[in-house]
Amino acid sequence: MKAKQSIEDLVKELLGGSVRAAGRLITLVEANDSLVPDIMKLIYPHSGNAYVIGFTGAPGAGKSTLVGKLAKLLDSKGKKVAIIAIDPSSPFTGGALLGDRIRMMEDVGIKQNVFIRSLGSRGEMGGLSEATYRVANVLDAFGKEFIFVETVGTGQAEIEVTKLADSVIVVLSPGMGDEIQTLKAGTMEIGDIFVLNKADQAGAESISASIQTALHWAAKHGERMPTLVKTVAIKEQGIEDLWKELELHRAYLIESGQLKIRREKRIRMEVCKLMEDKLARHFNKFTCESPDFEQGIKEVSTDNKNPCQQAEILLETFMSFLKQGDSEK
Amino acid sequence: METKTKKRVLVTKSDQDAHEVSVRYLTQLLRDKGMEVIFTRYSIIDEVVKTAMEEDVDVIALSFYSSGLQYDTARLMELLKEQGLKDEIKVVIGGTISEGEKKELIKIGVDEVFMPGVGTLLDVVERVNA
Repeated sequence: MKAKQSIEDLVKELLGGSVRAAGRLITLVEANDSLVPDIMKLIYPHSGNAYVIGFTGAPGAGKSTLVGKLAKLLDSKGKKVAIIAIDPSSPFTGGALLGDRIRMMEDVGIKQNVFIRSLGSRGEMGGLSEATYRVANVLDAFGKEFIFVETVGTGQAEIEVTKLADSVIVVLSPGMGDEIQTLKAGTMEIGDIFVLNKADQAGAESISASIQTALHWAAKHGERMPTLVKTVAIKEQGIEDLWKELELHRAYLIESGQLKIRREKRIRMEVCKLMEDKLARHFNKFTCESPDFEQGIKEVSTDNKNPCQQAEILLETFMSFLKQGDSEK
Repeated sequence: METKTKKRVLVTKSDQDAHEVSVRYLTQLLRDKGMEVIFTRYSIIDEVVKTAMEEDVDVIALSFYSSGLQYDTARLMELLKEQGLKDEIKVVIGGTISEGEKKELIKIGVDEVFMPGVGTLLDVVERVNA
C-alpha cells in the first residue's frame, strides 16, 4: 500500500527534485478528484517555463522511437526533458497496455534528467488523456525545460494536441498511402513540422515530394509554411535536423508573438474544460438525485409529454437546482 | 485521501532474455482486468526502480527464464528499500525458479513467487490484483 502523504509535502518534494513525488502527484492529478484544485494551486505558480512539443501521427510511424532519440539528443545537450506518452485505454475494461516507453528505454531509460510517464487515454477521443494538461504542469513545475507529448496515434483527426503544444510535429512514414492521403483534412492541417520517418524505405522519395506539394498548396498568405524533415529514427539519422527545425519554429513563435497567442488559447481551453467538468458533475447529481427530474421523465411516458418540451422544462429546473447548490456552499 | 486511481503494473524482464511470450500474454490478461500495464525490457535492473517511480506503479512483475534472478532481484529490493518504496510496491516474480531460490526471494522481501507448474496465469493475475 502506498503511504498517505499530504499534498503540501509532496509538492515540496517535487520542487526539491524528487522523482517519486513527481510520479505520485501525476497519479493524483490524473485521478481528477476533489484534491486536484488544491494540488494545482500549489503547482501552478511554479509552472509556465517549459516548452511543450506535441508528436502525432498514425500507429507504427515511429513516434515513440523518434521521441526517444530526440530526448537523447537534448539530454546530451544538457537539457531537461519530460515525455508524456499516451496509449489507448480499453473502452470495455478501462485497462491499457502502455507500450510507448519500451521504445525509449534503450536511449533514455536510465538518464537522470529524462522523465517518462505513460498515460492511458481513459475515454478521451482526441488522442490525449483528459489530464494531460495538468500532468504537463506538474512536470513543468518539476523543472523540465522541454515536455514531449506523444498522442495515442489513431491517425486522421487527432487534433487535440494543437491545443496543448507550442510546436506540433506530425510523423509520417512511407507505405501509408498515396498522394491523396497528403491532401486530406485533419492531421495534415495541424503540423508545424512534418517528419517523414523511415526515409530509407522504398517509396520515400515520391511521398516526400507529395508532402512538399501538399504543404505548398495549403500554405496561407502571411503564415509560416510548415517544414518537412526526413529521418530514420531507428538509425538516429535526421534527429539533429529535426532539432534545428524545432529551434527555428520556436524562434518564429517568439518573434511573431504567436507563442503568447497559443498559450492564451491553451489557458482558455483548460478553463473551459474545468468548467465543463464541474457542470457535468452537477448535472449527474441532478439526474441521479433530483425527484423533479424523475417526475419529469415519468411524465413523458405516462402523460405522453413531448421529450423536447420536457427537456426545456427540466433544464429550467436544473438551473434553479444549480443555484440552490451554490448557495448551500 | 481517497483517489479514483487505477491499478498500475510494471511488467518487465531483462533484454538479455529472449523468452517473453508468456509475459506478453500476462500483460494482456492484466489489461483485460482493467489495469494499466507498462511493459519494458531493462538493460540494467536500476532502470526498473526509476521506471516504477516515474510511472507510480502499485506492482512490479519480473520474469526470469534465464540467468540474473539472484543478482537482479537482490539489487531491486535494495533500491526499493533505499527509496522507501519497499512497503508501497508489491513485487511478484515468475519464471524457472527452484524451491530453494523461492525461499531466498521471500526472505529478501519479494511478495509472490511463481514457479513452473504451480498454477495458471490467471492465478498470477489474481495475485497481482489482490
